[in-house]
Amino acid sequence: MIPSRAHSSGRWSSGRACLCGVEMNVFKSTTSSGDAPASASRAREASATGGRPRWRVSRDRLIATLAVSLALVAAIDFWTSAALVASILFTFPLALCALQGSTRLLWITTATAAALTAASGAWGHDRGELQDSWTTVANRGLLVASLIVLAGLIHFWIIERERALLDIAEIARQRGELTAQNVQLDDLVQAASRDLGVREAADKHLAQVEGGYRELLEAAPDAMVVVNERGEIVLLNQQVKKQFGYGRDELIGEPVTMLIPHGFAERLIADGTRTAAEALAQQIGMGIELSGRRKDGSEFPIEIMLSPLERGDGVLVTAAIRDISVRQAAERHLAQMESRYRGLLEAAPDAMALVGMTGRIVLVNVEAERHFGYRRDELVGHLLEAIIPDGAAVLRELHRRSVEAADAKRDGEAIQIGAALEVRGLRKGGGEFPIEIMMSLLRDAEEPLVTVAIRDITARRETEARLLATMAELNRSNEELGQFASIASHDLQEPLRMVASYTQLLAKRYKGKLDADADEFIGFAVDGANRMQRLIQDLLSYSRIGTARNVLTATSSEQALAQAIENLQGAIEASGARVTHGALPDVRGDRVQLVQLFQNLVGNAIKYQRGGVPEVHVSSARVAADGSKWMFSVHDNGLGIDRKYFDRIFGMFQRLHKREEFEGTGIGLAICKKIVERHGGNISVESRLGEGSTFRFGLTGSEQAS
Amino acid sequence: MKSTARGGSAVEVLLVEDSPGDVRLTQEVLLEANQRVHLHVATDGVEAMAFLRREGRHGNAPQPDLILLDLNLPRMDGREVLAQIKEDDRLKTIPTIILTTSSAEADVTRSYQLQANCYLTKPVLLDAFEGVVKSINDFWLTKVKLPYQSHSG
Repeated sequence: MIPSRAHSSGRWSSGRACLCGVEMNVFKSTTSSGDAPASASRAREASATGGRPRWRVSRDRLIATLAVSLALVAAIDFWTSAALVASILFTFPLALCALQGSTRLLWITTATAAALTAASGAWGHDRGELQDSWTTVANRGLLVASLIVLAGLIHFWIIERERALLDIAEIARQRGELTAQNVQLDDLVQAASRDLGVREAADKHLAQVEGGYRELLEAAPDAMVVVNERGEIVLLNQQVKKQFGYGRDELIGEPVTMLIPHGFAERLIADGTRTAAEALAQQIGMGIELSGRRKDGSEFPIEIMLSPLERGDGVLVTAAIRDISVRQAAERHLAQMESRYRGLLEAAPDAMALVGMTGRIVLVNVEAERHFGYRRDELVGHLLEAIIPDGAAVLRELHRRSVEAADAKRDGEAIQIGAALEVRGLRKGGGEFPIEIMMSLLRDAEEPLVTVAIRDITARRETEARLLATMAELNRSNEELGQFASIASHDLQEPLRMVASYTQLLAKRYKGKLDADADEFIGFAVDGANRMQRLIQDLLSYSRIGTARNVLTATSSEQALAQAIENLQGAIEASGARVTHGALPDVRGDRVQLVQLFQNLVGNAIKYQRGGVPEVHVSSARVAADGSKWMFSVHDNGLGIDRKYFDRIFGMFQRLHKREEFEGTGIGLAICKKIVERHGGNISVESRLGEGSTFRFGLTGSEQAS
Repeated sequence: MKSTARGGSAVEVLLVEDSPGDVRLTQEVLLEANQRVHLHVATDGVEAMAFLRREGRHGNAPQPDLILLDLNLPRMDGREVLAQIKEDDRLKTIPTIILTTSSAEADVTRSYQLQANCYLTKPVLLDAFEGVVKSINDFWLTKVKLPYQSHSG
């Protein structure tokens, strides 16, 4: 009963234990001996089996007993020395019995000792050592009597000791009962104070709470309110005043709904279906977002964190209230930014990914999913290297540059890499494809992020390859054409020259020496050879325009015209033509070709006349829309051209007149068209039959180029 | 119109030309213009160089006063011949005239880079050709003062 009480209430056990160590040891030994009832025999056993307590209790009395026994023996010895041996012999067994605490054993020993003493008289008498039998008998009677007195004394002592042990046990038992009663009393007192809600007790309690927690509360960065079970504010800190505008006195004892109109009480205190503890168990540690009301009535978003404070008189709730209006605004801003980023990301025609500095993917768009064949959730959180093996290196370089820029305090500088950085992309399942990436750093984000724009350039690569192949083919065919031109210029002309030269030699040496037919035949042969020669020459010039690799340089169009007029001197003199021109600009051109262009056009203007004096005027004007362009005009007073031939005349071998009327190969204007086109312009004609013609062509001025 | 520069002696001319037609035509026209011309003919570049260096059967060949050189020749073409002539200290003083059918810009430029003394295109018309040959005779074989050369080598 006592031990069980001690175990049930830790509060009591330690305190009492140190107050009564001896009793406790006794209790312990009692407890360890088993479940024996509390009785005299048990107490005796306890004293017999116990350790130190038995010695402590009996030592003084044992010494006293031995002293008495020795004194008696000494007195007896006065009479006879023979008794000494016996008295010493029996004193120790008696002392042993006293220690044993057994009265039965004591009397058995005493009886044995008395019997032996009586017997020893007979034994000593037989030996003749004892002279006087009376004395001997008196001695033996005295010895036995003293033994009996001694045993009686020991008996009395043992009885007394047993009683003392019983008393101790009883006291301990009573004390245990008292303790139990005390605890019950305590509970009763507590229950009473709780149930009665004694105002004074509560006040005192609150004062204690205030004393204990005030400092803690004031140190908190948040507004802190301690609320009791009825939802009344019992304690608050300075922050509350700051955030809500109330003074301390205005809030103590008032319902918490003054501060937090909705949510707080409903959730916790006034919830009848749950106990406060249960409600708390669900809410503790969570940030609950509610709205707070200031003294002036304005509301603002708050987050509260609740923690219970278990008191003897009920559960108090400590609420930490944080103004989160700034954070909410920031969160809204962030959400807006994110949705904007996402919108931007999704609107991009390319695959886009947002990655952290470590290369971990934060966000991807639909295009990225499509390009790489992964679902969004298979990419987000994984490393960029999984889809772009070289991505890490590029990212490191980007990081290096950003650090460099930060070191150089170039904060405004845009950190980006690529524009056309070509790397490999890895598709889900291992397929590779060529991509172009561009990375740029988003420095305004909380954690630096990098946008990665990824473009699949498979199609472009293929197009490039095709283009390169076509270019190579074109170059080859151009080279062949050039070779053809050079072959034609020599090998084709050689036999032709032989035909022409020797027919002419024939004509020269044998004209009039043969007959009239021979002269005529020779004439046709010479004429045919001459025309063939001109055709070949013109074809050659035409083909050279395209194959010549001359770059366009700043060229004076006026000088080119002057050269053309000089080349045409014979025709001009023969026809009496007047060739005039206005101011002509410098243009980007090939001088040789420009000379040929003017020569063909002016030559045509002089040639296609019917009897009159040719008048040719060359002029130029800036093109209004584009200051770098010049429009040239070659105007004549010649035959004019029917509108229906405007397009045809620029084609190869196109002739509008019979050979008898005008000589020509029909290549001249085709050459003009090709030259103008090679200079990036167009050539056209305006004309009316019988009213002359105006040829117009555009060239680029050399101002910006040179 | 006798040559004043050569004082009536013979004029040695080397024509390097592979086309027999052209050889004959040039011969006809040149001899018509100047009867004192000794025309020697080499039909390719290798033979031309052998003549000029008096190698093989050309051991007794005279050093020419003028060389008429076609560009397109078998074995060794005219450009190579021109280059070798102008690198040879003994030969580089001989006026070398390119007489060819090619009027290609590249051929003209290249020839002058190799220090040709002049570049002439063979005209198709006989009259024009006669004019060219006559002007060669008038200028190079008559008017021009050339360095003294020992014809016998």
